[in-house]
Amino acid sequence: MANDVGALLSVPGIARWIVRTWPRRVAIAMVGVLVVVIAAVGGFARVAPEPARQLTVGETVDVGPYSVTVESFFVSDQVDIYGIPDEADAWVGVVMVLETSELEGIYTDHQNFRLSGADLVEERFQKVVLLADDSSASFLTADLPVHVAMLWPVRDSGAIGDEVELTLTETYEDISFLFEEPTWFAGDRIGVVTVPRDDEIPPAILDEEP
Amino acid sequence: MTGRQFPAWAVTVVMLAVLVGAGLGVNALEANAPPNGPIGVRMTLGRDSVVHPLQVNVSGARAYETILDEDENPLETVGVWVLVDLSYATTDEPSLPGDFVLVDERGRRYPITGRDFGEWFASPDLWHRGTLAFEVPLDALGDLTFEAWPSGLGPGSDTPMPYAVLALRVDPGTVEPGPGVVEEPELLPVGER
Repeated sequence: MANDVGALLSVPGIARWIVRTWPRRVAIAMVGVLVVVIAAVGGFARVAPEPARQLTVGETVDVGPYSVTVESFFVSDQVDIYGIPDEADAWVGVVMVLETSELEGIYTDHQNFRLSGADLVEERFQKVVLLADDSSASFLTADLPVHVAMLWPVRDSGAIGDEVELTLTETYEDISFLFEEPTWFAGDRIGVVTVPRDDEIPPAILDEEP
Repeated sequence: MTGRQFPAWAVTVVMLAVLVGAGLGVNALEANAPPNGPIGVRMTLGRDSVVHPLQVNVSGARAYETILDEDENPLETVGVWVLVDLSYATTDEPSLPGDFVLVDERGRRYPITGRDFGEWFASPDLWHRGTLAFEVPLDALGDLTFEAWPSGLGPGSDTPMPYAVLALRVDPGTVEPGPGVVEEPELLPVGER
Protein backbone atom coordinates (compact mmCIF):
# COMPACT_ATOMS: atom_id res chain seq x y z
CA MET A 1 0.00 0.00 0.00
CA ALA A 2 2.71 2.44 1.04
CA ASN A 3 4.62 1.47 -2.06
CA ASP A 4 1.63 2.30 -4.27
CA VAL A 5 1.31 5.82 -2.81
CA GLY A 6 5.04 6.36 -3.28
CA ALA A 7 4.78 5.32 -6.92
CA LEU A 8 1.84 7.64 -7.54
CA LEU A 9 3.63 10.65 -6.07
CA SER A 10 6.90 10.08 -7.90
CA VAL A 11 7.64 12.15 -11.02
CA PRO A 12 7.15 9.23 -13.45
CA GLY A 13 3.95 8.36 -11.56
CA ILE A 14 2.49 11.84 -12.02
CA ALA A 15 3.57 11.96 -15.66
CA ARG A 16 1.90 8.59 -16.32
CA TRP A 17 -1.28 9.83 -14.60
CA ILE A 18 -1.38 12.93 -16.81
CA VAL A 19 -1.04 11.10 -20.13
CA ARG A 20 -3.32 8.23 -19.19
CA THR A 21 -6.51 9.49 -21.00
CA TRP A 22 -7.07 11.58 -24.15
CA PRO A 23 -8.76 14.60 -22.46
CA ARG A 24 -5.75 14.86 -20.14
CA ARG A 25 -3.33 14.72 -23.06
CA VAL A 26 -5.28 17.45 -24.88
CA ALA A 27 -5.35 19.65 -21.78
CA ILE A 28 -1.62 19.39 -21.17
CA ALA A 29 -0.94 20.04 -24.87
CA MET A 30 -3.07 23.22 -24.71
CA VAL A 31 -1.07 24.52 -21.74
CA GLY A 32 2.12 23.88 -23.73
CA VAL A 33 0.72 25.68 -26.79
CA LEU A 34 -0.33 28.63 -24.62
CA VAL A 35 3.21 29.04 -23.25
CA VAL A 36 4.62 28.84 -26.81
CA VAL A 37 2.12 31.46 -28.07
CA ILE A 38 2.90 33.86 -25.19
CA ALA A 39 6.62 33.47 -25.89
CA ALA A 40 6.03 34.01 -29.65
CA VAL A 41 4.25 37.35 -29.16
CA GLY A 42 6.98 38.54 -26.77
CA GLY A 43 5.02 38.14 -23.57
CA PHE A 44 8.06 37.05 -21.59
CA ALA A 45 10.32 39.90 -22.67
CA ARG A 46 11.69 42.12 -19.92
CA VAL A 47 9.88 45.44 -19.64
CA ALA A 48 12.26 48.38 -19.52
CA PRO A 49 11.60 50.55 -16.46
CA GLU A 50 9.63 53.67 -17.29
CA PRO A 51 12.15 56.46 -17.83
CA ALA A 52 12.09 59.12 -15.13
CA ARG A 53 10.13 62.18 -16.17
CA GLN A 54 12.45 65.13 -16.52
CA LEU A 55 11.31 67.97 -14.29
CA THR A 56 12.66 71.43 -14.79
CA VAL A 57 14.20 73.86 -12.35
CA GLY A 58 11.57 76.36 -11.25
CA GLU A 59 8.71 73.94 -11.93
CA THR A 60 6.31 73.57 -9.00
CA VAL A 61 5.75 69.88 -8.30
CA ASP A 62 3.03 68.58 -5.97
CA VAL A 63 4.47 65.62 -4.06
CA GLY A 64 1.40 65.03 -1.90
CA PRO A 65 1.76 66.74 1.48
CA TYR A 66 3.38 69.84 -0.04
CA SER A 67 4.66 71.31 -3.29
CA VAL A 68 8.34 71.64 -4.19
CA THR A 69 9.98 74.20 -6.48
CA VAL A 70 13.67 73.40 -6.90
CA GLU A 71 16.05 76.25 -7.79
CA SER A 72 19.73 75.37 -7.41
CA PHE A 73 22.26 73.66 -5.18
CA PHE A 74 25.45 74.66 -3.37
CA VAL A 75 28.33 72.83 -1.74
CA SER A 76 29.64 74.39 1.45
CA ASP A 77 31.35 73.67 4.73
CA GLN A 78 30.51 77.17 5.98
CA VAL A 79 26.88 76.33 6.67
CA ASP A 80 25.97 74.86 10.07
CA ILE A 81 29.65 74.14 10.81
CA TYR A 82 28.96 72.37 14.11
CA GLY A 83 26.27 70.16 12.60
CA ILE A 84 28.48 68.45 9.97
CA PRO A 85 28.90 64.74 10.83
CA ASP A 86 32.51 63.54 11.36
CA GLU A 87 32.64 61.44 8.20
CA ALA A 88 31.44 64.32 6.00
CA ASP A 89 33.50 67.28 4.77
CA ALA A 90 30.67 69.55 3.57
CA TRP A 91 26.97 69.96 2.97
CA VAL A 92 25.12 69.79 -0.28
CA GLY A 93 22.26 72.26 0.08
CA VAL A 94 19.42 72.18 -2.41
CA VAL A 95 17.64 75.54 -2.54
CA MET A 96 13.89 75.22 -2.98
CA VAL A 97 10.51 76.66 -2.12
CA LEU A 98 8.16 74.45 -0.08
CA GLU A 99 4.46 75.12 0.42
CA THR A 100 1.76 73.05 2.10
CA SER A 101 -1.98 73.32 2.42
CA GLU A 102 -2.25 70.74 5.20
CA LEU A 103 -4.44 72.41 7.83
CA GLU A 104 -2.42 71.17 10.79
CA GLY A 105 0.96 71.72 9.14
CA ILE A 106 3.35 68.92 8.24
CA TYR A 107 6.96 67.82 8.70
CA THR A 108 9.17 67.56 5.63
CA ASP A 109 9.56 63.88 4.73
CA HIS A 110 12.76 62.22 3.46
CA GLN A 111 10.62 59.85 1.36
CA ASN A 112 9.86 62.70 -1.07
CA PHE A 113 13.51 63.50 -1.84
CA ARG A 114 16.43 61.41 -3.12
CA LEU A 115 19.68 63.05 -4.12
CA SER A 116 22.27 61.58 -6.50
CA GLY A 117 25.47 62.98 -7.95
CA ALA A 118 27.26 63.34 -4.62
CA ASP A 119 28.79 60.88 -2.13
CA LEU A 120 26.11 61.10 0.56
CA VAL A 121 26.82 60.08 4.15
CA GLU A 122 23.17 59.14 4.49
CA GLU A 123 20.36 58.97 1.94
CA ARG A 124 18.07 61.11 4.07
CA PHE A 125 18.49 64.85 4.20
CA GLN A 126 19.52 65.97 7.63
CA LYS A 127 18.18 69.51 7.94
CA VAL A 128 15.95 72.07 6.32
CA VAL A 129 16.93 75.66 7.08
CA LEU A 130 15.23 78.91 6.21
CA LEU A 131 17.39 81.02 3.88
CA ALA A 132 16.18 84.23 5.54
CA ASP A 133 17.53 83.56 9.03
CA ASP A 134 19.00 80.03 9.34
CA SER A 135 16.16 78.79 11.57
CA SER A 136 14.82 75.29 11.15
CA ALA A 137 12.07 74.92 8.56
CA SER A 138 11.42 71.21 8.85
CA PHE A 139 7.85 71.94 9.96
CA LEU A 140 5.67 73.64 7.37
CA THR A 141 2.44 75.46 8.18
CA ALA A 142 -0.51 75.91 5.84
CA ASP A 143 -0.23 78.49 3.03
CA LEU A 144 3.05 79.99 4.24
CA PRO A 145 5.57 79.16 1.49
CA VAL A 146 9.17 79.01 2.70
CA HIS A 147 12.43 79.53 0.81
CA VAL A 148 14.79 76.92 2.24
CA ALA A 149 17.98 74.93 1.80
CA MET A 150 17.66 71.19 2.30
CA LEU A 151 20.99 69.84 3.58
CA TRP A 152 22.70 66.48 3.01
CA PRO A 153 26.15 65.80 4.54
CA VAL A 154 28.61 64.58 1.86
CA ARG A 155 32.08 63.01 1.64
CA ASP A 156 34.59 64.00 -1.01
CA SER A 157 32.84 67.25 -1.79
CA GLY A 158 35.55 68.26 -4.28
CA ALA A 159 34.34 65.61 -6.72
CA ILE A 160 30.87 67.11 -7.05
CA GLY A 161 30.23 68.53 -10.50
CA ASP A 162 28.04 71.30 -11.83
CA GLU A 163 24.86 69.27 -11.54
CA VAL A 164 23.16 66.94 -9.09
CA GLU A 165 19.92 65.07 -9.61
CA LEU A 166 17.02 65.26 -7.21
CA THR A 167 14.37 62.56 -7.57
CA LEU A 168 10.93 63.56 -6.31
CA THR A 169 8.60 60.82 -5.12
CA GLU A 170 4.96 61.19 -4.24
CA THR A 171 3.71 60.27 -0.76
CA TYR A 172 0.13 59.62 0.24
CA GLU A 173 -1.60 59.40 3.59
CA ASP A 174 -3.26 56.19 4.70
CA ILE A 175 -4.18 54.43 7.91
CA SER A 176 -1.22 52.34 9.02
CA PHE A 177 -2.18 48.65 9.28
CA LEU A 178 0.16 48.15 12.21
CA PHE A 179 -0.44 51.26 14.32
CA GLU A 180 -3.92 52.17 13.07
CA GLU A 181 -3.04 55.82 12.70
CA PRO A 182 -2.59 58.02 9.63
CA THR A 183 0.89 57.64 8.15
CA TRP A 184 2.53 58.90 4.96
CA PHE A 185 3.59 56.16 2.54
CA ALA A 186 5.87 56.43 -0.50
CA GLY A 187 3.98 56.24 -3.80
CA ASP A 188 5.06 56.69 -7.41
CA ARG A 189 8.24 58.36 -8.47
CA ILE A 190 7.25 61.67 -10.05
CA GLY A 191 10.45 62.57 -11.85
CA VAL A 192 13.96 63.90 -11.66
CA VAL A 193 15.18 67.48 -11.52
CA THR A 194 18.66 68.22 -12.83
CA VAL A 195 19.75 70.88 -10.38
CA PRO A 196 22.33 73.47 -11.47
CA ARG A 197 25.08 74.54 -9.12
CA ASP A 198 25.14 78.03 -7.64
CA ASP A 199 27.63 78.48 -4.83
CA GLU A 200 26.44 81.96 -3.99
CA ILE A 201 25.03 81.16 -0.58
CA PRO A 202 22.59 83.49 1.17
CA PRO A 203 24.73 85.16 3.86
CA ALA A 204 22.13 84.61 6.59
CA ILE A 205 22.82 80.86 6.67
CA LEU A 206 26.64 81.16 6.67
CA ASP A 207 28.36 80.53 10.00
CA GLU A 208 31.28 82.63 11.09
CA GLU A 209 34.57 80.71 11.08
CA PRO A 210 34.81 78.75 14.37
CA MET B 1 -8.06 30.83 75.03
CA THR B 2 -7.02 30.62 71.37
CA GLY B 3 -7.54 34.31 70.59
CA ARG B 4 -10.00 33.45 67.84
CA GLN B 5 -13.24 35.22 68.60
CA PHE B 6 -14.64 35.26 65.02
CA PRO B 7 -15.05 32.33 62.68
CA ALA B 8 -12.57 32.26 59.80
CA TRP B 9 -15.25 32.67 57.11
CA ALA B 10 -16.52 35.89 58.72
CA VAL B 11 -13.02 37.39 58.72
CA THR B 12 -12.68 36.51 55.02
CA VAL B 13 -16.04 38.06 54.14
CA VAL B 14 -15.25 41.29 56.02
CA MET B 15 -11.83 41.61 54.41
CA LEU B 16 -13.31 41.08 50.92
CA ALA B 17 -16.01 43.65 51.62
CA VAL B 18 -13.41 46.21 52.72
CA LEU B 19 -11.34 45.55 49.57
CA VAL B 20 -14.26 45.86 47.17
CA GLY B 21 -15.55 48.90 49.03
CA ALA B 22 -12.18 50.65 48.84
CA GLY B 23 -11.98 49.95 45.10
CA LEU B 24 -15.45 51.31 44.46
CA GLY B 25 -14.64 54.37 46.57
CA VAL B 26 -11.47 55.15 44.58
CA ASN B 27 -13.39 54.69 41.31
CA ALA B 28 -16.10 57.09 42.44
CA LEU B 29 -13.51 59.63 43.56
CA GLU B 30 -11.66 59.41 40.25
CA ALA B 31 -14.85 59.87 38.25
CA ASN B 32 -16.15 62.80 40.28
CA ALA B 33 -12.92 64.58 41.15
CA PRO B 34 -10.37 63.99 38.35
CA PRO B 35 -6.89 64.97 39.52
CA ASN B 36 -6.40 67.24 36.48
CA GLY B 37 -9.66 69.11 36.79
CA PRO B 38 -11.91 69.72 33.78
CA ILE B 39 -10.53 68.87 30.30
CA GLY B 40 -11.86 71.73 28.18
CA VAL B 41 -11.86 75.32 29.49
CA ARG B 42 -13.27 78.39 27.76
CA MET B 43 -11.17 81.44 28.56
CA THR B 44 -12.25 85.06 28.79
CA LEU B 45 -10.06 87.95 27.70
CA GLY B 46 -8.42 89.59 30.71
CA ARG B 47 -9.56 86.94 33.20
CA ASP B 48 -7.59 84.19 34.95
CA SER B 49 -8.39 80.70 33.67
CA VAL B 50 -7.13 77.45 35.16
CA VAL B 51 -6.26 74.67 32.76
CA HIS B 52 -4.25 72.27 34.86
CA PRO B 53 -1.38 72.65 35.50
CA LEU B 54 -1.46 76.17 34.03
CA GLN B 55 -3.15 79.43 34.95
CA VAL B 56 -3.50 81.74 31.94
CA ASN B 57 -4.62 85.34 31.45
CA VAL B 58 -4.65 86.64 27.87
CA SER B 59 -4.80 90.41 27.51
CA GLY B 60 -5.02 90.73 23.73
CA ALA B 61 -3.56 90.25 20.26
CA ARG B 62 -2.11 92.56 17.59
CA ALA B 63 -0.69 92.06 14.10
CA TYR B 64 2.46 93.41 12.40
CA GLU B 65 4.02 93.11 8.96
CA THR B 66 7.46 92.66 10.54
CA ILE B 67 8.82 92.04 13.99
CA LEU B 68 12.34 92.27 15.36
CA ASP B 69 14.15 89.13 16.49
CA GLU B 70 16.25 88.95 19.65
CA ASP B 71 19.19 90.56 17.81
CA GLU B 72 16.88 93.34 16.59
CA ASN B 73 16.93 92.15 12.97
CA PRO B 74 13.59 92.21 11.16
CA LEU B 75 12.07 88.75 10.60
CA GLU B 76 10.83 88.45 7.03
CA THR B 77 7.54 86.72 6.31
CA VAL B 78 5.21 86.36 3.35
CA GLY B 79 2.38 86.48 5.90
CA VAL B 80 1.92 88.59 9.00
CA TRP B 81 2.93 88.28 12.63
CA VAL B 82 0.26 87.95 15.28
CA LEU B 83 1.53 88.81 18.75
CA VAL B 84 -0.51 87.50 21.67
CA ASP B 85 0.12 89.23 25.01
CA LEU B 86 -0.55 87.07 28.00
CA SER B 87 0.62 86.15 31.46
CA TYR B 88 0.74 82.71 32.96
CA ALA B 89 1.77 80.71 36.03
CA THR B 90 1.32 77.08 37.05
CA THR B 91 -0.96 75.71 39.74
CA ASP B 92 1.59 73.52 41.49
CA GLU B 93 5.02 72.63 40.08
CA PRO B 94 7.31 74.69 37.84
CA SER B 95 7.15 73.57 34.20
CA LEU B 96 7.31 74.65 30.58
CA PRO B 97 3.76 75.42 29.54
CA GLY B 98 3.36 73.04 26.58
CA ASP B 99 1.86 74.14 23.26
CA PHE B 100 0.05 77.29 22.16
CA VAL B 101 -1.75 77.24 18.81
CA LEU B 102 -3.61 79.86 16.79
CA VAL B 103 -6.46 78.44 14.69
CA ASP B 104 -8.17 80.37 11.90
CA GLU B 105 -11.75 80.09 10.64
CA ARG B 106 -10.75 77.55 7.97
CA GLY B 107 -9.21 75.29 10.61
CA ARG B 108 -5.59 76.04 9.74
CA ARG B 109 -3.41 75.61 12.83
CA TYR B 110 -0.34 77.72 13.53
CA PRO B 111 1.98 76.86 16.44
CA ILE B 112 4.18 79.58 17.96
CA THR B 113 7.04 80.48 15.64
CA GLY B 114 10.18 78.41 15.90
CA ARG B 115 12.24 81.15 14.24
CA ASP B 116 13.00 83.02 17.44
CA PHE B 117 11.60 83.64 20.91
CA GLY B 118 9.48 80.93 22.46
CA GLU B 119 7.71 80.20 25.66
CA TRP B 120 9.03 81.01 29.07
CA PHE B 121 9.15 78.91 32.20
CA ALA B 122 6.04 78.88 34.36
CA SER B 123 6.25 78.77 38.15
CA PRO B 124 3.53 78.17 40.74
CA ASP B 125 1.60 81.39 41.34
CA LEU B 126 4.50 83.49 40.04
CA TRP B 127 2.93 85.28 37.09
CA HIS B 128 5.14 86.29 34.16
CA ARG B 129 3.81 88.46 31.38
CA GLY B 130 5.18 88.12 27.87
CA THR B 131 4.34 87.85 24.19
CA LEU B 132 3.92 84.82 21.95
CA ALA B 133 4.63 85.29 18.21
CA PHE B 134 2.65 83.45 15.52
CA GLU B 135 3.41 83.57 11.78
CA VAL B 136 0.18 83.34 9.77
CA PRO B 137 -0.96 84.18 6.22
CA LEU B 138 -2.80 87.50 5.88
CA ASP B 139 -6.07 85.77 4.95
CA ALA B 140 -6.04 83.92 8.29
CA LEU B 141 -6.80 87.13 10.15
CA GLY B 142 -10.32 87.80 11.38
CA ASP B 143 -11.88 85.48 13.93
CA LEU B 144 -9.11 83.42 15.46
CA THR B 145 -9.09 80.84 18.23
CA PHE B 146 -6.22 80.76 20.67
CA GLU B 147 -5.61 77.31 22.15
CA ALA B 148 -3.47 76.43 25.16
CA TRP B 149 -2.36 72.81 25.58
CA PRO B 150 -0.45 72.85 28.87
CA SER B 151 0.59 69.20 28.66
CA GLY B 152 1.97 69.68 25.18
CA LEU B 153 -0.26 67.20 23.38
CA GLY B 154 -2.51 68.37 20.61
CA PRO B 155 -5.78 66.90 19.37
CA GLY B 156 -3.95 64.03 17.67
CA SER B 157 -3.62 62.42 21.09
CA ASP B 158 -6.05 59.69 22.10
CA THR B 159 -5.56 60.56 25.77
CA PRO B 160 -7.82 63.38 26.93
CA MET B 161 -5.47 66.25 27.71
CA PRO B 162 -6.69 69.46 29.31
CA TYR B 163 -6.83 72.48 27.01
CA ALA B 164 -8.26 75.95 26.96
CA VAL B 165 -9.67 78.03 24.11
CA LEU B 166 -10.18 81.74 23.65
CA ALA B 167 -11.90 83.57 20.78
CA LEU B 168 -9.62 86.36 19.55
CA ARG B 169 -10.49 88.88 16.86
CA VAL B 170 -7.65 90.42 14.85
CA ASP B 171 -8.95 92.55 11.97
CA PRO B 172 -6.97 92.40 8.72
CA GLY B 173 -7.35 96.19 8.60
CA THR B 174 -5.48 96.67 11.87
CA VAL B 175 -2.15 95.20 10.71
CA GLU B 176 0.56 97.70 11.61
CA PRO B 177 3.71 97.99 9.51
CA GLY B 178 5.83 97.61 12.64
CA PRO B 179 8.37 96.42 13.30
CA GLY B 180 6.67 94.99 16.35
CA VAL B 181 8.80 94.31 19.39
CA VAL B 182 8.51 91.13 21.40
CA GLU B 183 9.27 92.15 24.98
CA GLU B 184 11.24 89.94 27.34
CA PRO B 185 8.92 88.11 29.74
CA GLU B 186 8.74 89.92 33.08
CA LEU B 187 7.80 88.81 36.58
CA LEU B 188 4.67 90.59 37.74
CA PRO B 189 4.02 91.96 41.23
CA VAL B 190 1.45 90.01 43.24
CA GLY B 191 -2.05 90.54 41.93
CA GLU B 192 -1.02 92.02 38.55
CA ARG B 193 -1.55 90.30 35.23
